[in-house]
Amino acid sequence: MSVIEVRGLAKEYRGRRVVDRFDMTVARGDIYGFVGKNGAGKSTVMKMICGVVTPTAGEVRLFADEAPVGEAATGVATNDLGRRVGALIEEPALLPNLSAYDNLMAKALAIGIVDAPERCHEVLRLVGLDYAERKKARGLSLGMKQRLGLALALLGSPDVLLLDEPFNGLDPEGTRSLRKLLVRLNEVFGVTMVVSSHVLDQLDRMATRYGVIADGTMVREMTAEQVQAECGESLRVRTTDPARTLAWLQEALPAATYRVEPDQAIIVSGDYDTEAVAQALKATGQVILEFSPRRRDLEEYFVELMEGRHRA
Amino acid sequence: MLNLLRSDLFRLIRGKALWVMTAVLVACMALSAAMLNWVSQPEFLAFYAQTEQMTADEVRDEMRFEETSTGLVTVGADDGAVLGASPDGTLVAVAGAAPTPEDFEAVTAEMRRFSGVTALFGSFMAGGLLLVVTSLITALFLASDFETRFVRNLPMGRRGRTAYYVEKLLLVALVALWFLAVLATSCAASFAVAGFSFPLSEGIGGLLAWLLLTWMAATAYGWLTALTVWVTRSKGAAIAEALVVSSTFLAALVIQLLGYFARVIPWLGAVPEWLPSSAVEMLGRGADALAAPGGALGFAGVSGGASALLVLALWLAVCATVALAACRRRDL
Repeated sequence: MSVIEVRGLAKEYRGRRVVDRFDMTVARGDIYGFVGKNGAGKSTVMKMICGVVTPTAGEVRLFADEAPVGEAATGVATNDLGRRVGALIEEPALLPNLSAYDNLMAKALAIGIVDAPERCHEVLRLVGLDYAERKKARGLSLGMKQRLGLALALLGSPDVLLLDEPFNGLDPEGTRSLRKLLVRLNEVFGVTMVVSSHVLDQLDRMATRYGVIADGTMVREMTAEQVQAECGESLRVRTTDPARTLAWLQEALPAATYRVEPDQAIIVSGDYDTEAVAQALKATGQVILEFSPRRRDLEEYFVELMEGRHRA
Repeated sequence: MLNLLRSDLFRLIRGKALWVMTAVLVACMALSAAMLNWVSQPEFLAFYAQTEQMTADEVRDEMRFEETSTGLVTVGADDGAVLGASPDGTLVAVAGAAPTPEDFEAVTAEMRRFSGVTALFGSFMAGGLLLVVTSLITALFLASDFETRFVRNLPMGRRGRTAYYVEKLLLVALVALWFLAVLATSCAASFAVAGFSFPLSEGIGGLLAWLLLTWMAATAYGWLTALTVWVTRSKGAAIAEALVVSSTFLAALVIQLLGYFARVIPWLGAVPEWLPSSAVEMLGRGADALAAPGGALGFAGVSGGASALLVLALWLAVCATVALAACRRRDL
């Protein structure tokens, strides 16, 4: 069941569509890795999901799997949105002249948290900032500000977390501890997350699904297993008749996964045997232009996906 | 909405700006009382007259005080001598002698007596101090939501935005009420300590009516500043608006311009009465000005107070409408 459903989302600024015909589905319990180039529209999409920005077109439904109450645009009562959705989008939004603790109290009061002081102390301990609770926000380091931003997002014990580049400014130990915290929140408390990050290595260690955005449109959504399958060993095959070759291979080797590149090359991945593919191709009698084994890393894979729209 | 209000009050109380402005307001009251106390002393008046080697006519011109502003009597002169004045306005001749403090004791007594509580409060209202302080805090606080993007920590749908703007309007009204209370309390305390008298001549009802209208006026100017923040999303623009508009400086210019154009387009001459500054000017004269016909509907025999109530209510309604109809559509 989906916690976030986005259909036909669009956003226009001064006549320019920065997000267009965008669809996205995030299931309950997902850690959704949201990947895209700078300026692709990730932050804008996340802002529209949490209601900070009004879409030009399309619909966002939150908690669509629950009985919908409140507005048509979201499946959750407006007064619950602040508690059930936590967001850290772009840089942390802090009040510089208040302390870390007071920043949290300001939000805690705004979203109506009972026992606000206790909850603020608890969240500060969770993100490792309890020693700096009296320090003014403007005096915090970049990494500490990032952790305070995360604390603000976690304050309401949200069911959904929207995190835009959460690893920014964190040292390796901080990155690892944040990743472990997010995984724990997901596994123990069932928090659904949408995490956009350029740190693909970290996403690889925690994401259960991925979405790739390019030029404001969703290129592809897939599971982590699919990504692993396509990123692992694969064969790149080019023949004189790609359509017939593909049909032949799918019939001969149905267990493998096939994908056609923009240049009509067929990528064979998943459960396949190189020799069996070669034999199958030979049986087609076609001229083989290319037959090369490949192994891609995550970065190469996603860059190809993100740029694939340009070639198309 | 109430949660949002609690959060904003927490931010105001934990921050510095509110307390700095409060301290400034109290200091202004104390300083004003001290200065007026000093210049109303008989010794100062005598010293002033002696220093200036003034003739009786010059004393009359320099030291004539309008009954309506400070309740002082006019100092007259006879045959070139410097004179003092008794409370009933008759002259006490000090033929040929240099003025002494005793000559000015009656003048001092009149200088240190206000005709009513609202006459005292109104002298500060007319200068725009309350309006500027309210508008400055409004500009600083509301702009910080966008400057720091703290508002993004509060995911909200479209109804949430309505609650956001309604709450902010309510917050500004509470800030205006706070500063009005501070002004009234510190003004009364400072001038009482300095030995000034200000009897409750207007009665409790008159005082409450004056306070209510003053609160509405401060709120109206605060809401104008709030609109400036929400339209421009600029702290600088809002501060500039607070200083130029709330100090009634702009109103004075506009009224002058309208006066010129009214020679060609007569109905423009009636426009100033519909500006909030006209209500402020009336409130500056104290509760007495509210009872007599005046203001926008004075031509119809409507009291100044009712006219001021109508004008201020109109401006409050316009500000609220613009905030909820137009600003609500913009992305936070």
